[in-house]
Amino acid sequence: MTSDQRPPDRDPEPDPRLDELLRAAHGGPTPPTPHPSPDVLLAYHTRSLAADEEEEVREHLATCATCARAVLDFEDFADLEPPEDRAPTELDRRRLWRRIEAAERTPAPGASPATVRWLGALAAALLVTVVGLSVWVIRLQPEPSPVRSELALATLVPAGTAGTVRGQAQSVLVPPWAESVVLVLSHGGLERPDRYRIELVDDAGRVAWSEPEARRGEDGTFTVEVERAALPPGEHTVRLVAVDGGSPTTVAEYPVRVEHTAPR
Amino acid sequence: MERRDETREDGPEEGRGGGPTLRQVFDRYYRPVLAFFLRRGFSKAESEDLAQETFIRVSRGLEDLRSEEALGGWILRIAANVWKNELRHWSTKKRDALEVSYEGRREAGEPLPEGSVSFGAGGMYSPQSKALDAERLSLVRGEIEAMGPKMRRCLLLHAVQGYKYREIATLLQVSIQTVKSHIHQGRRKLRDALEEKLTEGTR
Repeated sequence: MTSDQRPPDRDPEPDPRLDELLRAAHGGPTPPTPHPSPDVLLAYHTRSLAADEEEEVREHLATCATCARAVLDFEDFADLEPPEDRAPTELDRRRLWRRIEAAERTPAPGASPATVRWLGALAAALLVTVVGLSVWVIRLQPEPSPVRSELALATLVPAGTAGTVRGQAQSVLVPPWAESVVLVLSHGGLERPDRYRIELVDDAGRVAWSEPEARRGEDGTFTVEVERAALPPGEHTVRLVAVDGGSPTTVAEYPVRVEHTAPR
Repeated sequence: MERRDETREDGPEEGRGGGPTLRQVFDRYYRPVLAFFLRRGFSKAESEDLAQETFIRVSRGLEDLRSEEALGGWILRIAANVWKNELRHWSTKKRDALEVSYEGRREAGEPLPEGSVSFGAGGMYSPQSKALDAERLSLVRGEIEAMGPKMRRCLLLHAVQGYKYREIATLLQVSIQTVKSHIHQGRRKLRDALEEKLTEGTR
């Protein structure tokens, strides 16, 4: 086979020993220059950088597998595949719709502190009202029709931090058709970059279920899906625990009364 | 005010202005967006969450999108911004996470620690002593540093990071032919320098 007949990506003169020597001489775990930020890498990919900036990025890419991989992923973005077959499910869509709606209810960023305080108070008052009304309406009205739905939703407000007096338990109704319940935990006073886990503590004080990597949404809420089996009827406490650095700290508790409603 | 029906299929931002619905966009791009974050070193749970955040932002701008052809690039830009914000928020830990091995790096093989190099018995670069190994490494380093930037980058991306010609051409924004040519010339330079050294060593 002549060199012209070779596939374009094949090495016409592989020399593993020379490559090994090159790796030993020049390979290193850390690139010599700091990583460009993702937007700079993207600007490089779209050729929107000045010539000198482009040269800096090229120099970095030559020794940084991490950033080189990112630029190649930009190129092939539309065809990227997760390692496992992970087509979006109905559950993914429903989570997204819920979060979009939750985000629409939050105030726009950039408001003045006074406005934020006002809006915060207003939002809290509205949330309490909405939760109260929802419980009242749900109790008064017939069981909602299970239209393609296997997911129930419960929005919880914190009763207090650890050690404070527990407030009144909030009802979490688990309809007969619900395979799982999405708990939306509101908490406006947390600072990043803490990591959090969410625990469900039974009435005997045992952690009956936990989500080790709870993440805060853009709207400030934590959304976690709990399977029906993990939510037996009774009094429980949902606990939000900060786990980033040092010992875990409970930052909010949400006492709940879980009720499994009977089919009609 | 019109009440939103939460059970409808196309989601909250459906098909306004005749463009794609959020559901269509979500179904088409969920996998690439999820894969994008997984490949940045985020966990499965984190990646799912970041993918959701990306589509929340998509939902806000979808009705203003004028061209469907530009959809992929626009979503990529949003995903890159979400990635950037995440790095900012989790700066220390996530910068460390960025340094985890990628498939490409694993494929290329981790660089060997200096001094542990073995080039096989009887080969052109077979070490007669550790001192000679160190000398060769130093020579190769000097040769690489003396190369022009294009040749050096092509050679390092190919030999050290294990990228293919096409990938290097994409990364450095040059033609595949240029990449091939630089790698060929770079190798020849290194071989010549090493052979000269070997000849000197056996005199």
